[in-house]
Amino acid sequence: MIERLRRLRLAFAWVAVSLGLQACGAPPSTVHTFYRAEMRIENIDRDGYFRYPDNIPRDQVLAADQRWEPIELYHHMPRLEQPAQGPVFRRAWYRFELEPTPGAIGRYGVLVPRFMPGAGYIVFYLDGQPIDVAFTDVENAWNHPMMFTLPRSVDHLKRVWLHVAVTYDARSGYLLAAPLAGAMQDLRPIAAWREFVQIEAPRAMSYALLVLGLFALGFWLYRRREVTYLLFALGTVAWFVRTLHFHVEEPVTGRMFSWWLTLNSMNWLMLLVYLFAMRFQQQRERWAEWLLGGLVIVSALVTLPWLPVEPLLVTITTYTAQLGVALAVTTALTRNALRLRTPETRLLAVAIWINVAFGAYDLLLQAYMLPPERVFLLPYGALFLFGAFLFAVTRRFSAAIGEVEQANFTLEARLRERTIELEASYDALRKIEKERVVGEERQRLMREMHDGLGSSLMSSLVMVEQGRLEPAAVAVVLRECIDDLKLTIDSLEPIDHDLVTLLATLRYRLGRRLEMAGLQLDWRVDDLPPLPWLDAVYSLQVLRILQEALTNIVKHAGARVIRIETAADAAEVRVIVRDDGHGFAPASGAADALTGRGLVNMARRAEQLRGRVEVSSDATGTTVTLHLPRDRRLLPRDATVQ
Amino acid sequence: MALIEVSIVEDDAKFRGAFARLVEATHDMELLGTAATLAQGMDLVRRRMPDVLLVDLDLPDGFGLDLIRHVASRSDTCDIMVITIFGDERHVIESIEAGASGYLLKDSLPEDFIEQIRVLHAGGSPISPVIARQLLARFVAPAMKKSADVPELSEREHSVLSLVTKGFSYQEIASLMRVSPHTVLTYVKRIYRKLQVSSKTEAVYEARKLGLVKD
Repeated sequence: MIERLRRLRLAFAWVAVSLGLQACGAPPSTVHTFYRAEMRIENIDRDGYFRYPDNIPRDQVLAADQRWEPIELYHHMPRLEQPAQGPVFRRAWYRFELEPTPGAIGRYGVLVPRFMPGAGYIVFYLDGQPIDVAFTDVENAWNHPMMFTLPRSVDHLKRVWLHVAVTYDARSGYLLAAPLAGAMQDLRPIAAWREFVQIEAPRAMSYALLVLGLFALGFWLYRRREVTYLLFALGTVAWFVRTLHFHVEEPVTGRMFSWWLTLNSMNWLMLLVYLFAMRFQQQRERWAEWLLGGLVIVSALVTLPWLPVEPLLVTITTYTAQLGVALAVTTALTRNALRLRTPETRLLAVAIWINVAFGAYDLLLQAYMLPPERVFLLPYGALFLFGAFLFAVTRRFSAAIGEVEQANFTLEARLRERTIELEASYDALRKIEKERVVGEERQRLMREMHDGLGSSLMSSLVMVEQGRLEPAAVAVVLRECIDDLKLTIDSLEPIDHDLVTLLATLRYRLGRRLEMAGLQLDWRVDDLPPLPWLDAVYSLQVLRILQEALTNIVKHAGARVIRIETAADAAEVRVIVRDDGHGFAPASGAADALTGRGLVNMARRAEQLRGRVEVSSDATGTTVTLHLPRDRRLLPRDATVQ
Repeated sequence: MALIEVSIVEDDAKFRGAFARLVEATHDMELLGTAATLAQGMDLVRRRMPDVLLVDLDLPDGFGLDLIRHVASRSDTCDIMVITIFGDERHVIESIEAGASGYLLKDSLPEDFIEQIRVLHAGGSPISPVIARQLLARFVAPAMKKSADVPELSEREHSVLSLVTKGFSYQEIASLMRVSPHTVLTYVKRIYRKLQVSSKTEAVYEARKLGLVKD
C-alpha cells in the first residue's frame, strides 16, 4: 500500500515537473517582453506574398494613423470566416518601440518563442530597414523559437522602432507569441532552454525509446509468444514517428505525408497502448480491438493528404476524436486496473491518464486556446507511458525469472529430499538384507546344530535312559558333541574368507588328537586365493567335510601318515587329504555302512557348497579331494538350502 | 630348581578342584591358593604374587579381565593364563590386551594342561591361527597411522605369525625358521607383550583425542 502510494506520488511529482516546464524561460529583468504592440493588416496579392518590402517608408514607421490599432500579445490572428476560393494572401504589420535597457551590453536581439502554425514567414525591420527573415518552411517551425540579432550595437541605440511583418494565408489564422527583446547574452540562454525543452529533449527521448524498442524487438524475435515485447517495440516506433515533427527540420516524405504520418501515428500509438495494456490486464476484448483497429484504418483513409479538406480543421477534429476514444479506452483500462490491483496495471493506467491529460493540454494549445509561449507536453508523456511499459515488462520478466529460480530451488529441495529418502530406503534395504543374511545364517546354524549336536545328544540321551550306554561310551559321545561345538565356534571365527586359516584352525583343534592317535600330519598347505562365499555356515560345512575325512582315517584306515595339501586353479581350489592306510573300494560293498554314510554326508555337504568330493582308494591308501568353486555365483544355482 | 608357584581363580568348583589337584600332583609346581571370586582372587594375589596365575574370565562378582589388568600392572614376572572353553578370538585377544600371555582350554588333556603351564612359565605362549591372523592385521595396519611409540613386529615375529595362520605347528615353524620350538613360543609371547603395549598406547591415544589425558 505504502509502496503504491509512493509510486503515485512519484507520478504526480513528474507531472508537476512537466508543468514546471511551462514556467521555464522566465526572462530576467534586462529582457523586455512586448505584451503590447500596434498592428495593421494589408491585403497583398500573390506577388506580394513572395516578395517582402525592402523598406518601410519613414512616414509609415512613425505614423500614428488610425490604421495602426493597439493589440495585446500574444496575438491570435483568427482565420477567415467566410469560405474562399484559393489562398487569401495578407500581411500583418506589428510595430514596437524598443527602449534599450540601461546597463545592457553587447548586441541586442529579439526572440519570438513561437509562431504557429508556421505557415507564412516573418520579416524583421529595424527603423524601417529589414534585418532578418524567418522563413517558416521548416517542418518544426511552429515549435522553433526564432532569434533576430539587431545589426547595431545597443550602446548606439536610442529608441528604435521594430517592425514585424507576418505574411500569411488568411484562410488559416496564426498565433504569434509575445516577442522578447534584450541583450543577446540574456536572450541566448532563454532561447537555448526553449530549444532544449521544445526540441532537443523530445528528440533525445524519441531516439532513446527507439533503441529501447530495438531491445524489445530482439527479445520478441527470440520469444515470439511474448507479444507484449513486440507491441512495446512497435509503440516506440509509433512514438518516434509521432514526435518527428517536434524536432526534424525537413519533412520526412513531403509535407503533406509527414502531416498524415504525424496525425495517424497517434492512432497507432493509442491502439498499441490499448493492446499492450489489455494483454497485461488479461482482459482482451476482441470486439474492442477490432473496433479500435477499424477506427485507425478509417482515420488513416479520411486524413489522406489529397482529399480536399482543410488541414488544421482535420487536425483539430482528428485530435478531438482521438481524445474522445482515449478517454473511453483509458476509462475501461482504469476500471480493470482498479479491479486487478496489480502495480503494473495501475501504473499503466496512471501513465495513460497523464498522457491523455497532456494530449488534451496540447490540443488546447494547438487550437490557440492557450498562450503560444507554452510548451507542448505530449513528448514528455513518453516518460510516463514507456516508463510504465518498462515497469510492466520488467516486472513480468523478473517475476518469470523469480518463478524459475523458485522452481529450481523447489526442485533442488525436492531432489535433496528424494536423495535423503533414497538413502533412508537404501539403509533400510541394507538393514533388511543384513537381517536376512543373518537370519539365513542363523537358520542354517540352527539346522546344523539340530542335525549334529542335537541329534547326537538326543540319541545318546535315549540310550543312556534305556541303560544301553556305558559311561565310557557316554564320554565319547559328549566328547564328539564338544568337538562339534568347537567346530561350530571355529566356523564363526573371523578368517576373512581364507580357506588356509580355516584348515589351520582345524589342525589346531585336531592336531593334538591325531598325534595322540599315533598319526603323523604331513602339512603341505600353501596360500590360496580368498573365497568370497566362505562365510560361517559354509566354513562349518568345510570343517565338517574334512573332519569326517579325518575321522574316517582315524577310525578305519589304519594309516600312519596323513598328508593334507592344497591346490588352486582359475576355477576352483582343492583340499587333498591322503592317507597311507589300507584303503577301501568305494564303489563296491567293501566299505562298511559307517564309512558309506560318512561319504554320503561329505558328498551332500560338498554339493551344498556347489563343490564335490572325490574319493579314490587302493591298497596304498585313500585320497579324498574336496573341490570348491572360487566363485559360487558363476555356478548354476541349485537347492543349497534343504 | 625352584618350584613354579601357581594360583587359580575359577568359579566352577569342579574345574577348580581338578586344576588344583593336577598342579598339586606335579612335582615341580606348587599351588599357592585358589579363589572362586574376583575379590578372593585380588586378595590371593595381594598376599603373594604367583609365577603363573590361572584366571577364568567369568567370575560371579566381576570380570576376570580386571584381575588380569591388576596383576599385569603390578608384576613383570607373573604369567597370566586365561581359562576358556573355546579359546575364541574375541576373548583371547581381550585377555592378551589386558596382560595375559597364554590361555588354557578347559577340556585340555591333563598332560597338556601341565605342559602348557610349564611352557608359559618358560616364556612360551600358545597361539591359534585365527588369533595369529588377527594380530597380523592389527600390527600391519595401525602401525602406519599411529605414533612411533607403537611397537612394530620384527620380521621374524611376522614370519611366525604368518606360518601359524597357515596351520604349521611350532615344531614345523621352528625347523622352517631354523630355531628351536621354544624360541618360536617366546616369539609369540613377545608378540603378546607388544599387543598389550600397543593396546595401552592406543588407549592413551584415544584418551588424548578425547581430552582425558594431557600430553
